[in-house]
Amino acid sequence: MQGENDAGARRAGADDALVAQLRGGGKGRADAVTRLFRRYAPEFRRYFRRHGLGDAEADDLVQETFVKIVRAAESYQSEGPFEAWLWAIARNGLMSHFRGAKPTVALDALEPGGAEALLAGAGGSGGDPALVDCVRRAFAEFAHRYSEGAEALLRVVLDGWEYEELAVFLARTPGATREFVSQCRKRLRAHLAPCLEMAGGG
Amino acid sequence: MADDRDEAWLRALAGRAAPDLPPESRREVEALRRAIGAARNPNDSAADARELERLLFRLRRERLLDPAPRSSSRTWLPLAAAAALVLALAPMLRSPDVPRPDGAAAVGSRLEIQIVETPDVERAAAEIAAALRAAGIEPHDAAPGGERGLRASIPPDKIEAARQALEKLGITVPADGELRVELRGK
Repeated sequence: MQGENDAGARRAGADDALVAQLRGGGKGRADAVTRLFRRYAPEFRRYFRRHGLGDAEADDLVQETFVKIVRAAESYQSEGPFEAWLWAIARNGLMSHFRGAKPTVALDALEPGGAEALLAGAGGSGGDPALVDCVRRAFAEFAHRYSEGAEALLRVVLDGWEYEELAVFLARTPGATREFVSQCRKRLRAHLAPCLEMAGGG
Repeated sequence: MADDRDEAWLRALAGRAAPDLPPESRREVEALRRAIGAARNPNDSAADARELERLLFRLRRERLLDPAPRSSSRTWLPLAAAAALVLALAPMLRSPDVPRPDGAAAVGSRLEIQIVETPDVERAAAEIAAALRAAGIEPHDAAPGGERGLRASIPPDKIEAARQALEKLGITVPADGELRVELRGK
């Protein structure tokens, strides 16, 4: 637990330094943008692609996201998780895109190709390959039906997010975020049940 | 209804210690982490580098990489931004085809020259030229003051298309359609 706290404090310190660079303008801002772009642009692009945007649209939306990040750096409140704030800007940009271009498409309507792409390349990381493959497919099905929940869980696994970050990303209150996670867990469990039974433990 | 088991499940899913997680949930979390954890796809570093260059180019054009004003008051920011814009778009009295305004015959034409500072002049020129061509406008090379530059006379019916094409690059299309861009190395 102490190690987690130390890591969190180090990350917060690094985030504060990045924010200070963003606010400072000039070369420091360019350096900060470069670091953030290398870290997050590929993830943002995949996020937009999973939600049905074409390559060019996704690239343009990534650009817009980073311009908004630069413009909004002044308003960032340092007590909130910086990474989740970045993702919230990306998510807001995606919702604005849908409002402008595809008003009938909701975030929960993940494109079929996007669902498959969600876990493309997964499955070779050890453990029972059949189980991992089954879970991969089950999660893709879950993502197809509950894309926002799948995105949230991806960030939990890949970036170690907890409730605080999820609440910022999802623009929900802490209580609503806990309920959201609880519902995600129940729905995901239904998708995973056949896999766990297959593995002999269910 | 959310409960403590959800919290332990989320902590375990995030790779943190969750000693109170039941064994069946632990197996579920481990399988999920294995399946999802391999989902980070390799990046296309060449494409990323191009997109980063495009972003930095736009930020420079929009003066978002200028040093921040030292004043701590935010009320000065709009004034500073406006001043920067005026400097960038300073109208210059030039009239290469008519006598200089040194007497009764002097007639000037107002040309807005937009100055682009970039580490890669040729790439920036190529991007602007490509955007113009995409809007159906053929740009011409120009060398104001010996610098690399582009000019284009945009007909009224193509001004909107040009505006949309150049907006992403931070280039403004003048109302009269006479576009002049000067590119300077940084």
